[in-house]
Amino acid sequence: MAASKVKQDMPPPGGYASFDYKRNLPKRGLSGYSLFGIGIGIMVFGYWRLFGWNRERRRLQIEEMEARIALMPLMQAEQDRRSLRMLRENLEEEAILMKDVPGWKVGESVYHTERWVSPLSEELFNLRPREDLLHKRFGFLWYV
Amino acid sequence: MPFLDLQTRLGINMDKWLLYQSGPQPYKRAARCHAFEKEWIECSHSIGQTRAKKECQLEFEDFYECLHKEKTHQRLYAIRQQRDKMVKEGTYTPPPCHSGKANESP
Repeated sequence: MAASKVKQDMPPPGGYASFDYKRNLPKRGLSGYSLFGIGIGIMVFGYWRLFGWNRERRRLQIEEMEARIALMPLMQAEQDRRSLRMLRENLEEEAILMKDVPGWKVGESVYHTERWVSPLSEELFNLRPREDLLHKRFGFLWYV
Repeated sequence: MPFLDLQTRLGINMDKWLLYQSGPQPYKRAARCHAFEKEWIECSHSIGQTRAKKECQLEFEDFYECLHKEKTHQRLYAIRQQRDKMVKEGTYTPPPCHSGKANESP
């Protein structure tokens, strides 16, 4: 081709500068083994803390249970006094109510035995408003 | 089987745990009618069914009552009916402990 007078887009004189075109995958960071080591080390540290805290929680739980055991006589005595008071009130009201009913023995036990039978909630709350009985039965539930 | 008693021989407890309430219970929690059932079983043990039905009638009735509470409920119902009747007639007003909030300290 003869030297043309047309203006063309040509590289600069001397050519372009050289540049990297090869792959660049540098070896860096820790090795695989040490990464495993770091992971396992963190896990072991976590287990150590966890086991210690669980032992502490167990000690706290034992303390709570012992507090409950210590309070049990008081709670039981209060509950017993309450039941006996309610039974007494029911007995007196029954005497007033069933005075004119023929053949009714006030305070008669439905059992033949002389043993103490724990009173039912229905017996204790018989003459009270119904919502008191419902509150006793369903007011506090252990489950959700 | 009646005379082989395999479960005691093998030391297993396949269905004895559900045969009567007075057996060993989980967490050692006694059944509600344990006393009544124990009395009835002790009374009627090894005297045969015909004799037991006659001689252990009282224990059996107590146990039945503990299980079903029929007589208790009937009694409570009768008292309640009588109270409602007397309230309607106007001859009875419930005391403060039985109506609404009285001082409920034990």
